[in-house]
Amino acid sequence: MSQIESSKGMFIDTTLCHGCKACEVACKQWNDIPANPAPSLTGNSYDNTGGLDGQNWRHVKFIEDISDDRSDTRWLFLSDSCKHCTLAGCMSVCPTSAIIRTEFDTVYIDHDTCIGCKYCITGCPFGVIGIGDLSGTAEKCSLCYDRLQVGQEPACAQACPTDSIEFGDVTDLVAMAKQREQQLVASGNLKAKLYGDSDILGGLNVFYLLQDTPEKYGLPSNPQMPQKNMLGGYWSSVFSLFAVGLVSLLSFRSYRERKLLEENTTKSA
Amino acid sequence: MYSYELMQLKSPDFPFIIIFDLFIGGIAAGAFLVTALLLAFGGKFNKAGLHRAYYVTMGLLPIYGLLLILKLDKKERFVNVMWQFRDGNIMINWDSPMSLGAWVLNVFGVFALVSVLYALKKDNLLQFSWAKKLYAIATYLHEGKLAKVYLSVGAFFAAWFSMYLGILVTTSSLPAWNATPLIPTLWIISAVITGVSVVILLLLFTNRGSQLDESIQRLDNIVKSVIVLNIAMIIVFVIALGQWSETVTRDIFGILLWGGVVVVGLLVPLLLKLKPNLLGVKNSLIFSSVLVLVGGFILRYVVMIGPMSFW
Repeated sequence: MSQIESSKGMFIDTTLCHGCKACEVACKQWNDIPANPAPSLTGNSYDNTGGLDGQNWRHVKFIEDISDDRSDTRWLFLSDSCKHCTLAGCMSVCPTSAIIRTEFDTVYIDHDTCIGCKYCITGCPFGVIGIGDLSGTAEKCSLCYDRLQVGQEPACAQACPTDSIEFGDVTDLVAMAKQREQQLVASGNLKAKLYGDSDILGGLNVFYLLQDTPEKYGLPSNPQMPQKNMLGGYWSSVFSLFAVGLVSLLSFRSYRERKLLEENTTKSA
Repeated sequence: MYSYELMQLKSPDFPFIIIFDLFIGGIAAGAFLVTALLLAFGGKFNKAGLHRAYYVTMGLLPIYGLLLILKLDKKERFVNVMWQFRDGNIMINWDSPMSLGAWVLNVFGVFALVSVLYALKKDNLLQFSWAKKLYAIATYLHEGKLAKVYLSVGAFFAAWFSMYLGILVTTSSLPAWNATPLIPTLWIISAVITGVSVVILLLLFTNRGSQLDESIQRLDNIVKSVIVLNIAMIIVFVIALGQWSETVTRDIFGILLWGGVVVVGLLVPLLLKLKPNLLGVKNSLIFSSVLVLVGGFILRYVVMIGPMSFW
């Protein structure tokens, strides 16, 4: 594991995103990810990507937000990717340490070490990771690790025409985000809220300013580390082991006693 | 109030092969676990032929390992689970049940190997002169002063092995798998009844005298009791799933769980064991054991595939 030099991350201001998908294209182009097959209509809104997976490391969500009485409609957009969590579930369950933390405090997949067991897919509470068609290993946003190493910003951030994706030191970005949140609340958008502060998995290095509840964007309101049930699993196993062991031994021995009883009954008869 | 909601969690789409893997691993572990416990703590009763359970374990473990490797997308890199080439260190991640499970499999494999040497010695099979010392060590570990310690530690690793894939799926973000910590419990209980059922079948078909009859009946007694435990645990498990119980009870999964596992795989075998005259003692034993195996397989299918396909 590398010594962390500085925590780099992204602040995604969803109020500025207009769904142009430039970030998706830039991500595919820089990282040499094949284009999605055309036509690739999902039938779900204008979203033709579908979701994050091994072939799509960035996905602009198109959310048609329609009120129950259908009198009010609006678009919500969210440029989604790996959140580079401080407490990363994928990293913690990886059996080969193929998922590592870089010197920029980002979460990176070492493709030479990954065995394609898919366990990290179940470890991520955001459904970010997928298996690459070409690589056969786990794939996700690397925050353009190769670009960071030479002092460049990630391709998506550079391509964003509205500065909806801001890249930089996480502490600076958090300050900027809080200021923007206050500004929005002051202007009447009372639901505007930061998602990914230190309350979520120790803090997300890629975090969001949302205009509504996280659930509306398909984000879990309270994501958990996959290990939350691990200890319970071990304890229940120990308990059942004792139960099974005891039942087995008692059943094994009771046979002899029953036989003896039968023999005695036969003799006395 | 808005109606649009998204849920983006993904299924790992573990291949169907994982069901066979779980099934085979469960039998291998269950057979070893019960045998080791009975040899160590079963008292001075007739235990004729029990050691033959070790053939079941040793026969199935390599297949288990092979299936585990076949499940990987990068099969040729399976050794990465044991050795970290990047840093040149032993690979162990205490937070990852898969990492620990790989080590448990290896340690359990050593116990299985030693124990099968003991079984070969007892049955006077494959006695290689160059391996005399190994047979002697294996016999000492089973019959000498350290027998109880050896067998207890072996049983511990067998139990850990039987449950680790349950811990593995419980330690995940997939709803239903992580809704309750009871999946490992289900695996252990099911491992015991399927493992012992295979041993019963093995003893039945290798029984040329009457000496084994008592051992078979004793093992059958164990299966009877654990079947009851298994039915109770399945009901508790479904209740514990809460809002996610639908993942294992809807459509075909519900039919398989209640019909395939509980009725065909547990209740019918229990009836045959309680009323052996229905088909004759030997036939009842054979049929009930086979049905227990069918039920054990279906249980694994439902608990693994149900939640994965729901997503």
